[in-house]
Amino acid sequence: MELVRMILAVILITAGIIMEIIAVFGLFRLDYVLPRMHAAAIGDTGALGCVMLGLMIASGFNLFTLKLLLIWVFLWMGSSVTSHVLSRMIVTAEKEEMEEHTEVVDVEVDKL
Amino acid sequence: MMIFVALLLGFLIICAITACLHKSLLASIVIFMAYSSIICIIWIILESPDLAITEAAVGAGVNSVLFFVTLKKINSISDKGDRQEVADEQN
Amino acid sequence: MSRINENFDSSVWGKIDRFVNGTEPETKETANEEIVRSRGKASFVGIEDTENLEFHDELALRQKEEDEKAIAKLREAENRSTGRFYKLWNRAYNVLAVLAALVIMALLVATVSYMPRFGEADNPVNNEVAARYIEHGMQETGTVNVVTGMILNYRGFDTMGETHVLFIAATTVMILLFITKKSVLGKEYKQDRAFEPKNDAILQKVATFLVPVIAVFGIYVVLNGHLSPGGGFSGGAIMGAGLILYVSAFGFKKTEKFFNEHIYVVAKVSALCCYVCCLSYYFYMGANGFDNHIPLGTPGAIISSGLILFIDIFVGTEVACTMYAFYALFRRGEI
Repeated sequence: MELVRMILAVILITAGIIMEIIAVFGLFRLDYVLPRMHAAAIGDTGALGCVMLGLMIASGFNLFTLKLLLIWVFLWMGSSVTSHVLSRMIVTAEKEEMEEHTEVVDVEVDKL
Repeated sequence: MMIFVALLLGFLIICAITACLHKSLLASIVIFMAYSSIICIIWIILESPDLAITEAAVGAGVNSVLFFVTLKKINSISDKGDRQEVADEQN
Repeated sequence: MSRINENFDSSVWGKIDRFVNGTEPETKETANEEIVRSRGKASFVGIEDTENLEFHDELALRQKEEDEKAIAKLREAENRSTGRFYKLWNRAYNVLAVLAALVIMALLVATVSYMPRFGEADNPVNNEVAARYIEHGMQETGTVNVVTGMILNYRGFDTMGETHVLFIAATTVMILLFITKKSVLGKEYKQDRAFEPKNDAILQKVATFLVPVIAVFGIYVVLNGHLSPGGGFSGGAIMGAGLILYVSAFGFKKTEKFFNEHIYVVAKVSALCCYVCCLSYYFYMGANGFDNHIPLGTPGAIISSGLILFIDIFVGTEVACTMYAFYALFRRGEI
């Protein structure tokens, strides 16, 4: 039972680290702010979830697990909302450049 | 653990040099934030959590916010001057 | 800051930058070409739009003269930056700068090599002072966290100086950046919020959840300063960060309902005064050899360790007010 738990935790943490590496690669390789942010935010969210779940499984059921859960919740809120606000600022401030670099389907800038 | 500490110290030196030499002020501030986060982990390894908490709250949080606000005040966040006009028209 | 290298694209750093970014360098246009192009386009459009050709001819002529003047100025600047003397001076400046940096680095490394190894038992830091803090600290100050006891009790004078430095810094920023004219105030504020999303629903919903949690965590860090890592300064910084998040989500108008200039002044000054009173009690008793008459309580309980808990609260108030004041003054020139 202990061995199975540890193996599961190691698999989850490894998956999280690989996800983070892919996110960093995309962050450097893509050419404009919004695609870069897409790569970074998705990689961050998935990797954080995997690593935190792995750590929670590894630590067992105690107070430390609750603290990890709280860290998970706050970081998910913080990072996703930060990405949202940043991308909204870009849509407001540099609309023309955004239309040059990306295919804009339907943006209602007036309502911002 | 030694390898981890050496890696962190190497990152610290790289961050310090890049924060000085980078061309864009905004990127310099972001690198400075990374520097603060690394030094926060180093404080924890040196067993001084009091300093680590302060470094995380002040160095990576409030300090960078103040830097960003200052950059915005002197209009050097955008590298082109005409974005201000675009935003003014939308108001 | 760093000086921008002219042949950045062909340097090693530029190559690394290109490899990492995966982009090819853009062809750079010199400044005067760009100016001529933009100016020419503008005057051309102006002629096309209206019928009054003579007036526009004159305008175009004047603009042409201005353009020539500007180009001559740019040429002069270019000659100055590419002339032989300035080239030599630049090269000498670079060499001297690198030399100075290398000398300072060598001095620092030489100093480090004379220092004892980190964490050795017979280092000069491990003397009777540190031993006394560790052995008698809990008994004498009543704090479980020795660091707080040391900072606020044994070395209270240092901490008092630091808090006064913070107070003076906030006052100086206020003197430099405080705007009293109402007309300028509104204009600055409108300009400042140009790029910001106004009344973002997602940010506001998350802020209503996060700000109370951050405030409670800050209060916890302040009140537990003598039991666990943390203390007045860190807790105050966390509370200030929570206030800054609230302001950026809801704007200054809503914040002024519970934290305006009046409350700021009262809280800051009274916290500093109470802090100095608490510390001067320690100084007076210590300097005259009297006993400490404040009960220390049982170590580990929340209400223990005498005045240290109150000093923590005052320092936390002071720091939170200062953080928020810095942000508000930098943002709009008013608290």
